[in-house]
Amino acid sequence: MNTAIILGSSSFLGSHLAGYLAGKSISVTGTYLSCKPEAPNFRAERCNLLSKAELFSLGKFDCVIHYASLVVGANKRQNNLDMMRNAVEYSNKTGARYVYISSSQVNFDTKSDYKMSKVESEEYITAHSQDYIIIRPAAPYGKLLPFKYTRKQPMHVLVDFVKKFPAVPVMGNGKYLRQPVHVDNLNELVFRCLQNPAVKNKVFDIGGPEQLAFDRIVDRIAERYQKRVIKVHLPLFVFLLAANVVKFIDKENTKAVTCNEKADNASWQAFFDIPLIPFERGCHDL
Amino acid sequence: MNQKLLVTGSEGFVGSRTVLHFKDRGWAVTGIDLAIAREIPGVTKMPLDLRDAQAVRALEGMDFEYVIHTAADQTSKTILANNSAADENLITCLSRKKKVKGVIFMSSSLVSTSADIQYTRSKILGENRLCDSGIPFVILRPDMIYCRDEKKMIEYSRMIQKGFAVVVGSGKYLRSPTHLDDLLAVFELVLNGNRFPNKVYEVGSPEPLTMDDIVKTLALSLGKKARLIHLPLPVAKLLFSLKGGLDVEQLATMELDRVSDLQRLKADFAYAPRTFAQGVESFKKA
Repeated sequence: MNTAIILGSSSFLGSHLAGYLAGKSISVTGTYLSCKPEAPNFRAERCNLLSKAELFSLGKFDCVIHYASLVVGANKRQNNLDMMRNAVEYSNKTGARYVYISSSQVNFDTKSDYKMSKVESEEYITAHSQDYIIIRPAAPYGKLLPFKYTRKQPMHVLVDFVKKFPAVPVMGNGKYLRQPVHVDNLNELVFRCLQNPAVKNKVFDIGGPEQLAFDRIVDRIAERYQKRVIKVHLPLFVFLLAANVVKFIDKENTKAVTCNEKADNASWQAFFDIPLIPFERGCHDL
Repeated sequence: MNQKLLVTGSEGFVGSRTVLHFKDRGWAVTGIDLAIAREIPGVTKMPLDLRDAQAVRALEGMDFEYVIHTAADQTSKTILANNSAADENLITCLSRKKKVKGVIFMSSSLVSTSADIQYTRSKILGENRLCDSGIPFVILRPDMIYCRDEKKMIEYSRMIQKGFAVVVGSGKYLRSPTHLDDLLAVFELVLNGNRFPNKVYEVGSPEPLTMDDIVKTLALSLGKKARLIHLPLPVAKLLFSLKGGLDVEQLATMELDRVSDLQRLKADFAYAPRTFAQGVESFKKA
């Protein structure tokens, strides 16, 4: 595997993977739409993934890694599906391996447009892609690279809060579980999948080595920055009420925040040996 | 023997100049539009509604090898339906004609942004329909096409002469204005070389400018100073919804930066468009 194209390379995860694969001597091209990656160690090409014509303009690669996904916008469900369909057709036509980055949210008991677009995408890929791997990362985190990002990960927003304010608002009771996975572990899993053509047409969950209550994650970040923060637990109904008033708060996404996250790492551990980074150590990269 | 060209939208700003440009260079040009505004000796013109599938069949009996498709609805409330029907009918008809060597499809720089409005959706559908048709194509996405006698330039010049200029929104959003002659030069490169690489190309000035700087540059070339008056977007929306003649959805995307990425155009056609400062300088010579 010598060449890779990353769809959505200006995202936190996409930009990390692009640098990681470039470091493994893979020639990387990354697509972006509105946020051009600055001074990357890969070739950045603008591409609206809804345009098949533009995607097919980009030529042939050994593998297509699909991160791009809309989390906002009224048509995000349909647009995410359309982008994925184009990407599947593109990889099938060019004989490339297709790696789709889904989300741990597919296991949640919610019906957000974002989650449903991931569920429907997975169904489409398993039915139509000739050579695919689907990866569902749980709460990814890691260092922010010197890029202009499409958007920060929730973990970075939390770190900003801990650093700037003496109190951190926590949605609900803070006892819901997260399984944060370090971005290096996710990158390594993608890389290993690409290197092993025999491992194909699989769905892998990936999370960190431990499940942590959200309150515990806040405490660990506060410890890492030697800060004392007060966790202010705000009842979920306050956010749901706000969702009815303020349109940009998605009600179903809000519900997803308090779902317990559990990644079945055994799904890929049967094929690869990747030591998982505990959050206590990994959070020093935040 | 003369080469034969069909220009759709022949009475529009780009279409009418395209017709004259190629007619002056010895091409046999046919122009179609909803209604014919001006007959030109040596040019065949025909009123044709591309939304009417039956009427479009008339093109099958006409003699042309190349098509420049500039016709598009940018202002009505049914942009998506109008443009989709027109593109579908035209491309279906062209697919049946054996003699068509290539199509230049005029898309828009808005497709290279995150704008998700009727107009961009219609352009993406058109791009994808063309991509699936098997007809050799070039898709161009120019930004803010201007020349000396373009409506916006005339309006701004008039205001500047009076010592002011009204700019919608903050004026800080970026644009990559495309001089009409640069667009026509790209048309020529494609058609004269019969080069249809089935790709999407952005066209625009190499150095993006804020809207404020565009007006200031124009004022400078006129040897005037103009006070900039920023019209808040909600006020502009209200005014234009009363006045009509502009897609209010497009107005809402005004603050999105439109920075042309010229790397594909330079690589495949070795063409570099002029800067806006060079463009307005050329007004003096015209």
